[in-house]
Amino acid sequence: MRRREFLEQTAMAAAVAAAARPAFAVDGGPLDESVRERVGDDVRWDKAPCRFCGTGCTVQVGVRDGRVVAVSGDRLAPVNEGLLCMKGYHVGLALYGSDRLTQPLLRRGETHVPISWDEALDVIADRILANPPGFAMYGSGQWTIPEGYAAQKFMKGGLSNNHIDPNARLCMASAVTGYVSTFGVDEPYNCFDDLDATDAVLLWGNNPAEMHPVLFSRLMRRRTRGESIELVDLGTRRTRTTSFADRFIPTKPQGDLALANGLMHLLVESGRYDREFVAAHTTFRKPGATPDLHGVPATFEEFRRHLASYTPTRVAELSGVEARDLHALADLFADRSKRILSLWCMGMNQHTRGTAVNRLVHGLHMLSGHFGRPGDGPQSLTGQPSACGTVREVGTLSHALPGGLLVANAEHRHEAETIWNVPAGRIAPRPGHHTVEMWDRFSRPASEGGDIHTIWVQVTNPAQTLPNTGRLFEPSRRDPDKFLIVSDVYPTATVRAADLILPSAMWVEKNGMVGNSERRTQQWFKMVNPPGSARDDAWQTIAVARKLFERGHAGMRDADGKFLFHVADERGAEIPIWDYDHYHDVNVDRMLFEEYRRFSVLERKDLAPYDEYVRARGLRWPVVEQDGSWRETRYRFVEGEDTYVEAGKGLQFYRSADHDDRARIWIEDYVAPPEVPDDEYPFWLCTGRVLEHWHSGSMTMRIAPLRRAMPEAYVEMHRDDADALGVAEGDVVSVATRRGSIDLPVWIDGRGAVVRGSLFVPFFDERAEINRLTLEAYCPISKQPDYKKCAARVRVAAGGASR
Amino acid sequence: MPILGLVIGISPDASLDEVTARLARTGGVRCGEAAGSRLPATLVRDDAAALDDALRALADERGVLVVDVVFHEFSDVHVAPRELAMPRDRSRRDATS
Repeated sequence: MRRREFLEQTAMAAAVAAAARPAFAVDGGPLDESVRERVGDDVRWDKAPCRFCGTGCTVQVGVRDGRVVAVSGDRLAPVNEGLLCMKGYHVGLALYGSDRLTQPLLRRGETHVPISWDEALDVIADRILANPPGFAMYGSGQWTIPEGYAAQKFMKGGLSNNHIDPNARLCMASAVTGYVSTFGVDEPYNCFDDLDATDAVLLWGNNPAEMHPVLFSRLMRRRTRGESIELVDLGTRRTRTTSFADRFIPTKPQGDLALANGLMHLLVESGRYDREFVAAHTTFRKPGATPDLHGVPATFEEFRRHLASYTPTRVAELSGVEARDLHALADLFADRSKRILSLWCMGMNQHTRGTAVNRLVHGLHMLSGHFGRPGDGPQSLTGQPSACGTVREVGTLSHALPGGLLVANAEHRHEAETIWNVPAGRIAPRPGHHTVEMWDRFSRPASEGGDIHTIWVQVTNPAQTLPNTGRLFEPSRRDPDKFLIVSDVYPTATVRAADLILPSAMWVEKNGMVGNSERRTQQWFKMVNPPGSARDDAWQTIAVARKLFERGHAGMRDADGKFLFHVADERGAEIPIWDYDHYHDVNVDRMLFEEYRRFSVLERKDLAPYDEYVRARGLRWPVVEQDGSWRETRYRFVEGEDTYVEAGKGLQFYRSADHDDRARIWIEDYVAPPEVPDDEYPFWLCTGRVLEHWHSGSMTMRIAPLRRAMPEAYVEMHRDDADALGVAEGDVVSVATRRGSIDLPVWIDGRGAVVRGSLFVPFFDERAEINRLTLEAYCPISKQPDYKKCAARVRVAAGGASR
Repeated sequence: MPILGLVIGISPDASLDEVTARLARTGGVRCGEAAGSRLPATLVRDDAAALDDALRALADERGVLVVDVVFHEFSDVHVAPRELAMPRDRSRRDATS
């Protein structure tokens, strides 16, 4: 058989297997034998989660001669059952851009010169030792769990320095504070199984057809079977998702706050809320004098009085949602025979009232009793492969410790110090700088409060993704006292601005573990070698720690005087994992994960032993041992699903902050956005992502088919606005805010369509620095900035108009 | 020569036979036996760009609700050079206007 024929047969076999599969009925099994059978002799296959979004699809990765040559959707994976999206089926090519970083580089004047790894590690150690509290680490939800854990331990357990924060602060911090302040614990109680059981999906500023295509496909698959699923798209612009929706309800920016209040008002006013659920499972809360997670107690009567002002007329004024749509949605929530799933992502989280709107949507579901059954509840989605696993669970946030512990809590610090075997008092009690504050202080001179002098960035691209980069990123690049270290795989905008560049291994060039949006932890093994002298991020962290250890930094020793990342062989002899030649003598991921796992049981986020994840296509925590096997949890707080729920309780919010097993329904008011259009800047500007590109495009813009499909950024304009400006499709305009301006071609009635008076610009294109224009104002509780709404103006660029 | 394995979801209000016949007439497409409304297929093209175009065209076919990729062989797909020869052209937008 010719090779091409063989490959076609292989492709067809994968398609037939996926097509024939009953919809998301998981039969499990450690290996996808159908893939193995069609391997051929020269391709070795193994599982790995996709490198891109937070869905957590499993792919089978085909390797020949040390190179990834094929990917196949893993039909045994419960998340995607063999399906892959446009980015997912190109994920293997992300490794092979021609400009991979392969050697450490140090800035000398205007250029970067090659240096050795040892020299690079010395440079970092010098910077830390020169000013320990002025050092910070900035990571991401793309850190694997062991990488994030190593960084977390290095900073908080080694340097006694809490200035570590991730880019996930920019994408889902408001979801965290929403969950914690409502349920007493972070992350969704539910899971993707809801997609197979729900009757109606409310998309709150959410575009899963482009951002989470496999999840959206899971819904569409039900429609191909003739099942009825009502899709309601609540948003400020029409998207690819809208074309599949039964109803598109346009909302004004920030209008979600009024909409949620308006719906609850109608339910309470008409007596159609779920009295039994509310009485049995909830308490009421309102914000105190200072914005925080706890607020102060409130009564149902206060709640009712608060809602009274959210009449359909006022809600229409604030949110743009017409009274008939509001009533229709209220009728939907009043009908408990239907199961309703609310989904959201950045639209609700990148919001100066992000915590408040998260609380309101949780409250709406609990008030109406749409909670606790499969397909019936609120669920936030994440955009990065381990925003949940690494950031929210390992706790790589400036205020957090692993497993849901907090640095400000003395008992929690003691627990962490015990597990890390470091002396009491090693962990500093004050939270470090959150993302915006960290970069603000890095951008300001030391004489003006700029107490951060060195930032080590791993696995993210802040030069392109921070808000208001002209203020939060660029000034430090003109300050000779500030030093930027960047570990990455490609020469991103951040890499080019760095003082020290460290080449990293990516995806299947290293071992890894990640956690997706439904609490599912996944594992994979290294399959190919990284190029040149690129190395694992966890190794980089451990190697710097060793440099400091060798120079006598006390924090790099545990309570017994051993190296902070001490690993011994079976005879007790230390394995020098800081030496890359010996890094793979032992599975460092396993060692780090097993230590981290000890944290997970403290707050009932139990994880299974590492080897269970080797066998599984991910497991959703809490994972508890029962009858000799490890059982995952689909629905937390639900009797029969979650083993932590006491018998007879039905639903038990056992992590409640008040220790009363109840969740909180919050009183939250509509608050106007911090910047609104005016005569000078008359448009709303919203930013976001597109199907083809993942985040800042550093990987997907190097994949030729994806780049060809979406080669450049653009500004979506309404046709009437374009006509008024005298510009046509493709003309170049200057989009400006009070913070900066860029030139972009106009796109009218394209894939997305904005309402009149609005603009949309994606952020994947590093040549179009849209985050020079965005607002750094953030939610006072989550500290997450609002990239979705600010005031802008549009003018014809010089020579830009065609008419 | 890149190859895709696909599962094509057929709209419940479309005729599976008609859609299958129409897709099978498309060059480079080979259809397997449908499982309910889910049609397995392969798609082969000379290069990645043509493959991408063909995939989009399939998704736009009448009667097709959704196209999922389940397999991708790309061993001879060239990786993107540092800067692709893609000026800020407007061909994509022209095509949609």
